[in-house]
Amino acid sequence: MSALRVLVVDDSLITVTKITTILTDLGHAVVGTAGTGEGAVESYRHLTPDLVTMDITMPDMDGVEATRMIINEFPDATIIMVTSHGQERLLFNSLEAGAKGYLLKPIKRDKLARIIEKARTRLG
Amino acid sequence: MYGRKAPGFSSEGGFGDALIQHLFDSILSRTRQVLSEEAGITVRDGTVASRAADIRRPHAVTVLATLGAPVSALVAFSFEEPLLESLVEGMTGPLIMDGDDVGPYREDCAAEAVNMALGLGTADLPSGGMAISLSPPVVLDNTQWAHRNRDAFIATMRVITDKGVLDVSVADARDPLDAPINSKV
Repeated sequence: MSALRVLVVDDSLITVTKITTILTDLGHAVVGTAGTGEGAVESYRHLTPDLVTMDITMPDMDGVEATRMIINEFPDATIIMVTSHGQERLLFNSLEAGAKGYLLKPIKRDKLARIIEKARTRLG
Repeated sequence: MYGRKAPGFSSEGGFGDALIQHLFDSILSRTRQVLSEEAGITVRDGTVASRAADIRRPHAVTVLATLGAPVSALVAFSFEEPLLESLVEGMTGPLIMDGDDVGPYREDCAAEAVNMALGLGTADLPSGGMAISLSPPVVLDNTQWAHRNRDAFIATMRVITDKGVLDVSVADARDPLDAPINSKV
């Protein structure tokens, strides 16, 4: 199994650190991080990662809008929402914007590993 | 769900008792979940007080966030120092080497805990089919106070944990707060 190149998007330092630690431990490579929606779009253009973990609540552009913009430009992008938002309506909006799945915080290693594996299967 | 509910707890206008009770039920339940899962902290009790003169901010770190329509509530979480230390230790413990400085993570851990408690709680609240927005959490510094405007309504809940106290204040986001809070947040 090859390592995935991952872009981690979250405005929380502790969450970025946690996701990076888990992904690295799982054998993947975090190739970039961003703390805003605009930063996520910009980083995606430069890095074209295999996978993005995307927070929803962020300053300026939120994660749903950033997902929509990335998918518009890169229709094959694989984006997973990693969020505390438990409301169905917002999760539906995320999937409608092009996200391939979501993970609710608090983040647990097993849950993140499972959703990464699903994404890996989809990537082939 | 609460240990006690103070008599005379009432409000004016649309930000009524039912919504406030619903909001506090959700906050208490989700705070219990987040503190337990992130740091092994046990919530023992949540006590709702009557309206307050100002948003309670007596503790080490205070985090402010806003829930959008149709809830439209400004929520402030104020963490007592021992509780904050336990939270930071729990959240950073598996990630940071012994001896490393956790200073940069102190406010961030509090903000992320609030983000999780309120974010998960959006699933508990009446939405009328709308997606309830949640603002990024803002950490208040020691110069900022949220004073109640003349007609604004503020309700408070004290959450007792095995590591310290957390005070939660809720105000109608449509009742503007006076300076300096609006000038800096």
